[in-house]
Amino acid sequence: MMTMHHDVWQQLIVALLVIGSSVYVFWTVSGLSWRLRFIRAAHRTLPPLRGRLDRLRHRLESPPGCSACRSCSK
Amino acid sequence: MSAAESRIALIGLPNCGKTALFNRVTGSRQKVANYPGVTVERKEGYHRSASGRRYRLLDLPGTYSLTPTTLDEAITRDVALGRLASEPRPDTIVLVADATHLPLSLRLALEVKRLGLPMIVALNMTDLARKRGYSIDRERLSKELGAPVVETIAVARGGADALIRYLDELSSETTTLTPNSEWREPSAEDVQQTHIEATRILAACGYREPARSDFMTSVDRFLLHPFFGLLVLGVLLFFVFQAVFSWASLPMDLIDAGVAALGEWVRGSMPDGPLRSLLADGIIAGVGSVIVFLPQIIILFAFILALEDSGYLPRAAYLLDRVMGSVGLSGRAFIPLLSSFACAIPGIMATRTIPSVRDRLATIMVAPLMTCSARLPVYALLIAAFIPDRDLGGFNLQGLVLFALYFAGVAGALLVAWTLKKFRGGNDTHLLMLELPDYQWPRLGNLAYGLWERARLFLGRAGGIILALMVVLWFLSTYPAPPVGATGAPIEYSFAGQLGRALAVVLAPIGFNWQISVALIPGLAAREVAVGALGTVYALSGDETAVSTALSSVIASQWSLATGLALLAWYVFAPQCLATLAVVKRETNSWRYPLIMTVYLFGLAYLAAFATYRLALWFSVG
Repeated sequence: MMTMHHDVWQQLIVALLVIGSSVYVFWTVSGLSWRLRFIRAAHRTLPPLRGRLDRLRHRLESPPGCSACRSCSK
Repeated sequence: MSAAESRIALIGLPNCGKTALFNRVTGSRQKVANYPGVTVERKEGYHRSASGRRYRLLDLPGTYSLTPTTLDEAITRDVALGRLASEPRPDTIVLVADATHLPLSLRLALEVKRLGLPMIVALNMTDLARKRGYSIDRERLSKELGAPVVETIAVARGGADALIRYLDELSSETTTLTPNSEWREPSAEDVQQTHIEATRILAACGYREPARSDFMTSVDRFLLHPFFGLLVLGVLLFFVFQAVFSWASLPMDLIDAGVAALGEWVRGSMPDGPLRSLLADGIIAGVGSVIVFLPQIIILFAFILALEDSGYLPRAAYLLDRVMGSVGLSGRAFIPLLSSFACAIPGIMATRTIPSVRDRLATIMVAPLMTCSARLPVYALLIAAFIPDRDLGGFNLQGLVLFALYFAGVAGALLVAWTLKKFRGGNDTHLLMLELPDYQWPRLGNLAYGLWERARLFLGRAGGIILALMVVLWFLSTYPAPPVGATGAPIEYSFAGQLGRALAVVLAPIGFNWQISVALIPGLAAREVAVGALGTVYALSGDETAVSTALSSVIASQWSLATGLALLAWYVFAPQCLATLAVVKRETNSWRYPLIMTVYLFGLAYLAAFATYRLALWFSVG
């Protein structure tokens, strides 16, 4: 019983970590157009987050700084 | 000029201390380099003076005149003239003049003055100038120029106080200057007149330059000699690569032991289940395999930063100009290519300083062949696994191989550039104009900050994209579970195992097994991720010792030497970095060049790995 209980919460945490990591990898590796598509899709499906998503879209569409360098290992 | 916020643009020659002054005033931190052309991005910062006035400072790219020869210089001119739609014209220009190179700065100051905007001349590095014996009558200079001249020491606390005071005074003045709307690009005659005027002003202000010491002249004569100079450069680089392996072994062993102990602790203190496997086999084995290379990266960059700070790097550019010219690259390509040793992304962005579009494209196409720091963990892992740690003719064999790999990257770049030159035809001649700074001892603070930045970026990556990819890879390597009665390791039945086997059909001719094939996929995001991926794949391969044993020992026992050498050859060329390809697309504004780059680099990587593998087998070392 104890092992099964442990197994359930372990699987729950693992599932959250895997989903979070997949979104993070997608976000980091994808280009601007894919990120904007992702935000548009989230905008449609997650109405409570629309304010935040709008701000994020605005930030992405403003002139770039050294954003590409943030993912480099120099 | 009484608005609540004033826009201030910093203009100056490359390497005049403009960025350092910008940092001093705004409090932001950036890299301060010692060679011309480092400022390629728009940099903005804010300052609120003691009087409560707010200033918006813009650090413009370094320029020698308002007649641009590069994209960077064109940006500086356009901002100063208010021609950029996204950038309002500045209210005041701070002309940053290097007090140790005043004649050049003065010519620029005279050009800027003709714009008709309020101008303050910040005479920077005055402490250094005095120490070296330069002298000038500042008040007279101010009268001659018709603009305030203030002394600044950008690297010293309070070194910009006088500038802020003058900015406040200027802002509170009620008189306004009208920008010159009829500004036109100076003709050859105008340039000559400016030169004559600058010479006159310097004479009127009693400007004196110290005589260059015989010792420094002799040092330069030796270090810039076409043969001895190149010999010194070669020996220096050779020493650096020797040190990377020899000095890093102790801290690497300590990190390795720490990672292994952490893995064991997690295994011992958590109940069996997917979370324990994710932590021990995915995250700790994967990320741990990457962070173990931190000491080598620190040592490599300690040397690069020290050489940069000492003023040697522009001399290396001068030495290599003839070699680069012979393969069709511009002398200006040296700095972007040198930056690419850290990372191809800033290197490719730095090609904006190359005036010719064709030269710029050629430099972009070869930049990923420079051995970036992300390759170092891969090289270090494979060298430690397959190259014996012994002396060869008094040199460490592992260091020699690392040197050879760096050399192979440079040779590959020169070969590709030469091929491009043959394809495009023509007979371009290139002139390299470079200002050689005086030699100086590397500043410890700069060095420490630069190393801290490198370490932070590397660890940030390990804790960001690498960690996330290890979690995803662990999932793909763990699920689906093996069928009932399966006899192989569970990973062989997983998504990653199946994908690895499919790819191994293509990669088997070059000696890669399915584990390498799996590791190369997340390794497309960034090269060093492949090391972590191998750590995770082997930790999940049913080998219980893989977690507690160093990854290099595991692969040394499971791969042939031919495979190890083929993978090294693959990594010299393979474009395993999506961010680089994205930046090439952005900089060239076309998918054509990243596509060509991907095809030719993967082609070269496959050919090099194939040749290495077959030759190694032929010599029966496999």
